[in-house]
Amino acid sequence: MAVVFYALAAYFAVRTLALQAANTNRTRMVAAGLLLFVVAAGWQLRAIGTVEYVRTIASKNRREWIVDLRKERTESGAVPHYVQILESMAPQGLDPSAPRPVRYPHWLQMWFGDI
Amino acid sequence: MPGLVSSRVRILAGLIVVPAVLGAILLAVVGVTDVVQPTSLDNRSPDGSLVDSIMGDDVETAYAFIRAGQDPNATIPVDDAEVTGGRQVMASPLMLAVAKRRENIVGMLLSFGARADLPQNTSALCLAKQIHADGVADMLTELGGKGWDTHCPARADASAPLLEYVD
Repeated sequence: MAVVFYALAAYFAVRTLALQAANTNRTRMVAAGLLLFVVAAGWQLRAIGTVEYVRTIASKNRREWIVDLRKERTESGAVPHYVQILESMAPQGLDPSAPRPVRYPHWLQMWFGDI
Repeated sequence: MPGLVSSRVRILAGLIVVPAVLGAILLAVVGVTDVVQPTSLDNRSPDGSLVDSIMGDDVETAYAFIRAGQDPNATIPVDDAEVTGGRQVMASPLMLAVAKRRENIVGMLLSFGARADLPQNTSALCLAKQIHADGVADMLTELGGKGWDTHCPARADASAPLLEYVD
């Protein structure tokens, strides 16, 4: 919910900066333009990286369901209620439609950081 | 001057908008691709073979074969320089996964039907111990029940360990 207010505040801040920069000399305007471009590009990279992070986590979770199901069943065998919950969740955990990381070019993935 | 200022504002706005639009287009392409062509391998027939996926330690593709109906206990032809010395033999997926030390795939096979009490699998624990795959051996002991053969052969071919345990 706070994201909406954050976005509004960011909009007015950037708008004010741009209007002030437009009224200054050329050097300051170019500097402000470069700053705005870098911030905008970084923000988009962050947005794409966030989506990619969620996809990676989804893929890792599914792999854990595939690999560790027997282990979970064995270790929780003494707790029937847990096993019941586990079995009811298994189809969702093993669902093949789980997202996978996008195969972005290596240079682009490097910008996302360690995800 | 107002015209100059407005053109400058447009330039600055463009510098913000261009990366934003490019990023939005990229995310849109990814989203549309997901809808048109699901990214999961399991939604379509997996490529290659179960042997290839075990060799390549690709647990998701290996699972796709099992999910598609391949019997996790049925023997498959294996021909690998490392574990069979280049000879083609018939081995179970579990034996191959153990021979290749594919811990994740061993876990997957045990989760989806590989049984310790079947003749083609019963030597898996011996094989794991012989090649000193301790993690795999622990997993088999912990998860595989009591069906493993504990009378391991005294001598084994170190250069092709799987040969000792298959016909």
